[in-house]
Amino acid sequence: MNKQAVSENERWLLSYYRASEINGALFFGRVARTVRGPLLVDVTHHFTDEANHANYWTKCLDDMDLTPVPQNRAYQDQYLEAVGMPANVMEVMAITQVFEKRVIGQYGRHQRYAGTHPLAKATIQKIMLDERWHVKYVRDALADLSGKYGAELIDTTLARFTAADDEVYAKTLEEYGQRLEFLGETTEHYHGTETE
Amino acid sequence: MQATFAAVAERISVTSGVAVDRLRPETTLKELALDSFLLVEMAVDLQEEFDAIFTQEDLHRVSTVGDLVELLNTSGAADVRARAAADHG
Repeated sequence: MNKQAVSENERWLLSYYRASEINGALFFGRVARTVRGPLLVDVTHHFTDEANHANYWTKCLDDMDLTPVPQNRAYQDQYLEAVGMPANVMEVMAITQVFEKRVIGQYGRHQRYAGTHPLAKATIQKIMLDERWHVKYVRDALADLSGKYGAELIDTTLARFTAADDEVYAKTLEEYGQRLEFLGETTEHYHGTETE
Repeated sequence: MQATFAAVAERISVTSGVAVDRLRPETTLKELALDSFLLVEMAVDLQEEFDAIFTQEDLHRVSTVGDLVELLNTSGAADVRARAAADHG
């Protein structure tokens, strides 16, 4: 067990990650039940990754002798509220593409923060391997879907979802800014600048 | 693939758990008590099964199972691409 102290804000953030991964698993579990064709394997894999990530965060907190801070809403709840529930497979993939980029950006920043607890850092490193694959398979899936949906519609959809994600992220920083200050995050710095 | 009421009702029953014999064209989606995720699940399932494309606007307009059948028969990929091009062009 690692005895390095964990700040209350970092504990809150790890709990937020855990809640977000649980929501991701529930969402992809639903999608995996109905999607057909080549995406079936990848989406089911994605579903298990999200569930595993929730497990990693739960174990990480437990190894720190901590319990998760209860969370009312995960990031996805606000994001889906902003963009609307996806109406088709392409929109599911587009929502996922934008969200996964956000996740990679957030985990990357947390990982780079010098004071990150070693157990949290190790957990992020493990999760990042999966996250990069998520971005890749979703990008490939969107390319494949362009024959059916048209590249223009996909581009428009991605732009719409990216704008919504930027807004939700800015709102999240306004709401939980104090919790994230230890990573050096501010609304001014990150609003609309996510490109990772 | 032509979406008949019987075929659509069969798929809805599988996704929602509502018995086929309880479904009528006039049955509302509200009566099926679908939460928003189950509605997505059902919409994706129907589109995959009948090779159609729904938009968010389509789903907002649909209120009954009969509406869904009609939508499935008018939402082929070519129709949706043409509508999108008209909307954005």
